[in-house]
Amino acid sequence: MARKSPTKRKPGITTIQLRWLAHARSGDKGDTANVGLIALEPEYFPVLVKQVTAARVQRHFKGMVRSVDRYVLPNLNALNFLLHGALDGGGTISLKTDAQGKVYSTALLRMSIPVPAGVAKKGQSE
Amino acid sequence: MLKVSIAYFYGYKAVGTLVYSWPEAYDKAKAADRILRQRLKDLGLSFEQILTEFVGADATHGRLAGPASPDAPEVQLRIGVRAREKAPVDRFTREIAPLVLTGPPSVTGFAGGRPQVEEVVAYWPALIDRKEIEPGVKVEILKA
Repeated sequence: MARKSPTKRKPGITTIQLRWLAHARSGDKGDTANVGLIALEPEYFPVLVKQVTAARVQRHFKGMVRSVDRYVLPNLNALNFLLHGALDGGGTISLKTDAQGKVYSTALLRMSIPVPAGVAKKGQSE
Repeated sequence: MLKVSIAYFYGYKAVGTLVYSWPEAYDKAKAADRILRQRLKDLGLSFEQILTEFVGADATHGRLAGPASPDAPEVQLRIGVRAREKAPVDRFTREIAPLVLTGPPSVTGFAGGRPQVEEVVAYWPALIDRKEIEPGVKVEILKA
């Protein structure tokens, strides 16, 4: 897979894909996919809290989910997202390959966010 | 509150797959999907849901995966249907094989035969007020 370099936006700020800053794991409950986003380093967590909002995640998944809730778990440096209406009915009703929402995790890691250049550099060097 | 897990009958489903090879595997799979959907329409079959996925292009990440490469080595057409009645789902399972003969070329992956019609047992995880529940155990011995 091609590893795209961060692109310049304005001085000191670059955009970077979440894959360089976080782990993600996901699963299902009914027609809702549940995505956990866990900062790879404690210093990335405030950036995630600021940039990866419920509204941005909903835009990212436009046409794929009905609505998004976000929960902040500071003790884990993690965010938890509920993607409602993401699984074509969910469970045994769903006709999707990913009826259990297992790979909404990596789909979220495709999202790019603006970060301070230092963070982007550190994220990509790891 | 108590958790209650309710399973209930929710009709029938079947999933058919065909694999198209390079070159233009994705375009071939898309064409096959168009043909199949038109055929289902012409047969007057009614489904609650028809879902097409192109494995190798969009099955896991949808549109986020971006445009499919014309050089993809293969793409699997995966089309699923669901209906309350069994008959349209059963008819659907007979429409995959004809695509092999009359649809886009360089198609494979159909040696397993016709897709199976499955009963859908839907699951409803819910909460119920404790007060609504009378706890008890009932044992019934049934003779064969």
